[in-house]
Amino acid sequence: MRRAGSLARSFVSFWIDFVLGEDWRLAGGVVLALAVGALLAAGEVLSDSALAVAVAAAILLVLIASVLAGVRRQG
Amino acid sequence: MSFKGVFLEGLEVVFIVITFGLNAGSIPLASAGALVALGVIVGVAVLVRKPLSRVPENTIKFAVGLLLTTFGTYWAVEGIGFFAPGRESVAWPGGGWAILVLLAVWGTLSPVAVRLLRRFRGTRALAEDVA
Repeated sequence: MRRAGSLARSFVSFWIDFVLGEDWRLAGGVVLALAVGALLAAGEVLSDSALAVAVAAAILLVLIASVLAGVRRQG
Repeated sequence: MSFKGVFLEGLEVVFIVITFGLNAGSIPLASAGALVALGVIVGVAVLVRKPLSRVPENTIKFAVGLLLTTFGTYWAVEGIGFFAPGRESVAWPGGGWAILVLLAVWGTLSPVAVRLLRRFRGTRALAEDVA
């Protein structure tokens, strides 16, 4: 029973680590950028090109913020 | 780490086979194509294993990470089109050429991020040594 519980915990832990990686904020930020993009797409607010560039820029900013946060944590 | 990398690539192949199979109206055909591709890759890997083993592991990981991030960004943004009224993929400016632009951007930003993190990690380690 204990072994089954340990296996289950390892299984869940593997998937959380696999999906979220080392920084859950980075994963969450990317998901947020895509979600905002989806809303903009649904509302047809921007042209395709503008939407693509805007969402890509948002993902880039999320990565930069994650790196800066990492530097602050180490500093 | 190696298992996670191989598992991720395997998952990608599954998604690509399903996507192409659904588009072509034949998943068995897409699966057969994937098997042929597997055979070709294994063959090439066996042929170039010696020179390939001389490439530093981190360099390979970095290159693979860059490609994954580039294609991931490209396809994720395209996929947003699912939520648009016509359910058409979002069209990147320049079409497929946008992949090269994304690769250049990620390829420029990543070494900067690595240097930044390495420099501050070194600073903290030095500070801890001094303390």
